Amino acid sequence: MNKFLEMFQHAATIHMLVGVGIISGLCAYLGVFVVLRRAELAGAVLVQMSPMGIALALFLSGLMTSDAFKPVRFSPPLFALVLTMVAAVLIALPHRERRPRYKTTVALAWLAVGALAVTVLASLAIVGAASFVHARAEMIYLLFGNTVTITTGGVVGLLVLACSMGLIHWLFYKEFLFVSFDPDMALALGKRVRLWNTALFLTIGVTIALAIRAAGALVVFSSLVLPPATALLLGRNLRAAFAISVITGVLGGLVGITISYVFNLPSGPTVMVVNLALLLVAFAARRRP
Amino acid sequence: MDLVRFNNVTLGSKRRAILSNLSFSIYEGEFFGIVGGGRSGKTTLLRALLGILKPTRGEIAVHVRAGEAGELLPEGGYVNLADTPGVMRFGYVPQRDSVDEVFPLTVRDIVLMGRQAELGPLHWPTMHDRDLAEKKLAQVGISEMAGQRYRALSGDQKQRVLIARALAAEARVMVLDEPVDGMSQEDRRAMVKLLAQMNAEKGTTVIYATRRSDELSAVAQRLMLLQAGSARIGLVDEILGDSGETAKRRHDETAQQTES
Repeated sequence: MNKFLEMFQHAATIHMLVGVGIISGLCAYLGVFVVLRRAELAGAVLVQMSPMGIALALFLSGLMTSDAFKPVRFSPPLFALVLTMVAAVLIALPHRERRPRYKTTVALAWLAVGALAVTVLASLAIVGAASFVHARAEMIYLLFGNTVTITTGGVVGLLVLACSMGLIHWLFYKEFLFVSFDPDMALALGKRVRLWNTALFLTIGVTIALAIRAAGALVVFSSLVLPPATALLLGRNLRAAFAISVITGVLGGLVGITISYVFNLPSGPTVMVVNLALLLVAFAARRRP
Repeated sequence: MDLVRFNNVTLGSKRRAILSNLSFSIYEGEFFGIVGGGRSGKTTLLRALLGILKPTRGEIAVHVRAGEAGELLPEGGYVNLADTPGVMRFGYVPQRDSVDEVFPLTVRDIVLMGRQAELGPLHWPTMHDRDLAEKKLAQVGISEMAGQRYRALSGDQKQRVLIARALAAEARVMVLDEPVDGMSQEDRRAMVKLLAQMNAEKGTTVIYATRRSDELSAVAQRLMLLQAGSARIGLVDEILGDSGETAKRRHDETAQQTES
């Protein structure tokens, strides 16, 4: 109990709660599109692009620091952001993601990116031990998150991200929904399906790339998939599904992070378990006559 | 006037052609029927017409009006659909099974999607759009279901929702892929009559694909018969091989429409 109350006495823990709340809510909103389009695997590819970008940036930095080149430092977060955006554009290119061949391609991309990230990471030992140690720390942050390091500036940055995404989705919600629901009819009515798909996946990709550094891959991915799945079980219409997804996403994030702090557990897996528990409760509630 | 021209078009994949060397035109204001069995290529043909599927060979040209193809109207008014997908707007009724039921959308939400071509980005449906959607739902006989979830409807009702959505688009061309499949004979006749009225009164071009030629015998001006990868086009009587009966039925139907 003391540890629970202690959470609200430190600026760092309050920043952590607010930051995770924003990230969980935003990912849960965007995740409704991901789950409705059955693009969960594409979401996993986008999540995996961050470790890939960081490994690549550190590898290139290590390579450029060798005798042959002047020291150059590539920014890992920038590399992660750019690679995620490129992946988002490639994912959005096909007209329909429900085709079996598309799913196989995305699954292969997921495997390839994961394998490549590990290989590049392992190769860092070749280009310098310092990079390797740095990379290991970065990877641990990315996977499990580093929520305790969310500063006031970080919270403001996350708020700006959430407001920007909110504005884009408020302005173009009907286009994003139309091309997700029925791309054929959208094309028949003269809509630029590829453009809107790309814009939608870019909002998802940018959010993932920026949120992942603060909260970690597990928090981001679980918020992207589990609260929307819960919401689609309970929501009677699409508006209700979006609202339920955001509420359960924020709730899962805050409860998970609190449990992880009080019981000294890793935050990412704890948030994931809480989100999963909420999904099971929703499933049981829905099946009850 | 030719609205759509197929010039030596082959459709399918690079390995296997589904329809080969199609050369024909669909005229503006025509009721054009496409008849063929399962896997005869009806949906493939319609998807090519909508610009969703690119021909592996040949060209599909559509006639555009001023403003539809940018500022400059091309010479003769024809543009290649492959170069400018979406240049012509179609009211499209897909096969019921191709619509994703996971989306928890209401009937009203879906019909309002038909208004998106008129609305464009940064514009939201107005009262006029909502009224129009309600009117189209009434036309297809399900106005009381506007607030219901699409997934909860019967197959027949889902079909009507998709027809209402295509009607709400108020496009100059309607493309329908087995739109009355699963309906009772009486309802089928009523839906086809509604389309025929729209074709007669507003001059909307109707391109209608079906497995049952009897649906169209009384209303279509021309039919395309798809069989084993080949296509035969002609007047309804020529295609159905009927000398007098069909013409009589068509005459009776038109007379009934005029009376009503």
